[in-house]
Amino acid sequence: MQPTKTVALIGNPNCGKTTLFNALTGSRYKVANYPGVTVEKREGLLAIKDGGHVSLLDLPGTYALEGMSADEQVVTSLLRGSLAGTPKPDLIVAVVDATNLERSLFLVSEMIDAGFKIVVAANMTDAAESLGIKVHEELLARALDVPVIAVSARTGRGLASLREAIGSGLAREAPRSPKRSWLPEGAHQPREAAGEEVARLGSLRYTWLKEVVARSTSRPERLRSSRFAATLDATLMSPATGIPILLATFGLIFQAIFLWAKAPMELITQGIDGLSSLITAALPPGMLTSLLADGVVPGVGNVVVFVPQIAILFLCIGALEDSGYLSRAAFLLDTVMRRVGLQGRAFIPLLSSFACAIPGILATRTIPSRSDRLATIMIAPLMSCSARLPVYAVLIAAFVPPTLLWGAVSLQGLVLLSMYVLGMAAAFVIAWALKRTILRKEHSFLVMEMPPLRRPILKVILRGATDSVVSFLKNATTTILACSIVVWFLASYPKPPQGFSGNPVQASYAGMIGAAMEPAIRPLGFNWEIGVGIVSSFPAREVFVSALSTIYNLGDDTEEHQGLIRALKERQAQGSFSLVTAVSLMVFYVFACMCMSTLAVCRRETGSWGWTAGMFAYMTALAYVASLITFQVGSRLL
Amino acid sequence: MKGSDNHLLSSVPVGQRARISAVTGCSLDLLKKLISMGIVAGSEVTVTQRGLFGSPISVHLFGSVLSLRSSEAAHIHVQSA
Repeated sequence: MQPTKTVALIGNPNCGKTTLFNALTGSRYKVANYPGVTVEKREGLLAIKDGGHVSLLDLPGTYALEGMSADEQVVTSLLRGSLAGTPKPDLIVAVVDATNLERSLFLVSEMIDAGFKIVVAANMTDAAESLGIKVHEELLARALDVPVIAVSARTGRGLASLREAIGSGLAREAPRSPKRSWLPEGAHQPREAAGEEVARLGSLRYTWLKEVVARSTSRPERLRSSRFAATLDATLMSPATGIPILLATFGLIFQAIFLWAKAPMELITQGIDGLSSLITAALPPGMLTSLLADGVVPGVGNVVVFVPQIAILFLCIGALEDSGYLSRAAFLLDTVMRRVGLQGRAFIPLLSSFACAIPGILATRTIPSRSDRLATIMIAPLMSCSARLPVYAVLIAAFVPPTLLWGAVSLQGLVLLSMYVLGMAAAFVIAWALKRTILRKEHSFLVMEMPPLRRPILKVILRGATDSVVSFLKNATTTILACSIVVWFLASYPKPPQGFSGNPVQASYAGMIGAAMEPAIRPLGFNWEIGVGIVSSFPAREVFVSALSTIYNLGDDTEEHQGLIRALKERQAQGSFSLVTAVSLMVFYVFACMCMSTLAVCRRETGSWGWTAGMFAYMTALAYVASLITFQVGSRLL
Repeated sequence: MKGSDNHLLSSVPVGQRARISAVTGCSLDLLKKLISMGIVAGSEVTVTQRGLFGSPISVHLFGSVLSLRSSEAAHIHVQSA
């Protein structure tokens, strides 16, 4: 049965709303330790006591009823009843952070004033207790005049009582006119006022909240905070030590992607090659065998090979997210970001874009200034996403020797890092240019909360990485499988005429497309085979790897199937694929906008075809020119 | 604003505690944002860190750490606490 009542989780950013939502509804949405992980409304089913169900909403965090950034305004419009497709909630579960009650209760007292039916969930009581803070539910409930339940979403404490309180809260009458206890007796009723009045009322509200918290909690003279954490935090944030640590951290991640993934990737490659050979040996030669052995298995297989690298990338990003380190990095980088007209806050969307531009672009909703947000959206796809990783990785593995520099630094990892740096450098230049031309500066502000540093929770990181790998595999078995079949067909038919000598693929549709493209891409160092690969990767970048391996498999007259890396090395030896071409190709992939989903999400988030077309146009032009320069300069030097 | 014990948050050295006396001269949007995060007259803050070239700064207030640019902190008047 469709639930008829709606309950909304509302609270400050990073106070654990999504963790609570996941615990109450059995969902597994992404959680991390920085403000602004959730930027959209989500809905789940919550079982309440008498066997009924209500619809539970998880919402982005906000500090005040009147939200400023796009994500905060979701809450504002929900509470006004003007959020499309969602009724005004029947009950609000106000989630507050027990380690930071005064600040969390500001929003709660605003909601009480607005006359909402509220149950307060004092979350993170485990963290509060380890600091020595004890929240007395009944005292706080009496002071605020609403029910209060102490919970810990992470450990599950208090969740049963919360469920019960939600059930009885729904049955309760709506509150009569709010008391506004924070206004001193005889003071003026607040009205929409100028700055000074707003500041005075804010100060009054906090004075009252401080009293409420002092009355309803007990805390030691000095909080039991760890000296180690404080020292670590200071080391990470102080520029002198923090910036070298920041660079070393990201350097290490790229090293790890190559060094740790090596063994599992070799294993998967052997498995795929074996499977292809097995199919060729077991089935009679013919169309179906070719489709499986030349199209499907290498097409999907050559993408699946990158699972270990994707997993390492997501494990590293997950650990950084859950530790609270990202906000420290944003703090350190604000100076740099400000030079190009962005703000430190843009760092998190940009970092997410290393995984995938789509969550990255969604995360820009936390940026309050529209011009900053647009500039960040426009440059997000220049961050090398995990779909480019297969392209870089296969080219690097084939053309860059696995040398260790100074005995420890992998040259391959260094080349990979330089591709990422190239994308970032271009992004900064583009942002700078945008902010000086079309996107004139409107006033923007930084003011953000730093989440506490904590040891990342292994379960959270593993779950995040698993979800990413699963979605990568799902993509490999749907989009990429479909593309592989199309590429196989185009590269197999029409069959070459009798007596045709040379590469049979050249006579096919794919060969014709490649031949038509060749004049345009020859100056970049690309031949027709690479051209076909590029065209087929327009829906998704990873397809390049599978398309190239299908074309090579069909073109090579040997019966034996071989991995793409070996096929590339063979071509290098024959002189048909040079190191300069490989570098030029990587540079092309750094810049080119080859991802339908990115364009779709850009259209949705900017609400404009103009910006979407602009993104596609500038990235394509950049890719072409940068590749052209790379190849022309590179082939003269080498 | 009178008295010698009155300066701006942007000039408070790292490690020092201060009590906010007023927030003035900023846009209404920024003011509301600051208020919602606890930056109001009467709150006590400790400056915990300063970024590259002095901005942003991070301050401890209530149970959390906020970071803000020194241009933003320049609207916040404080007294030594």
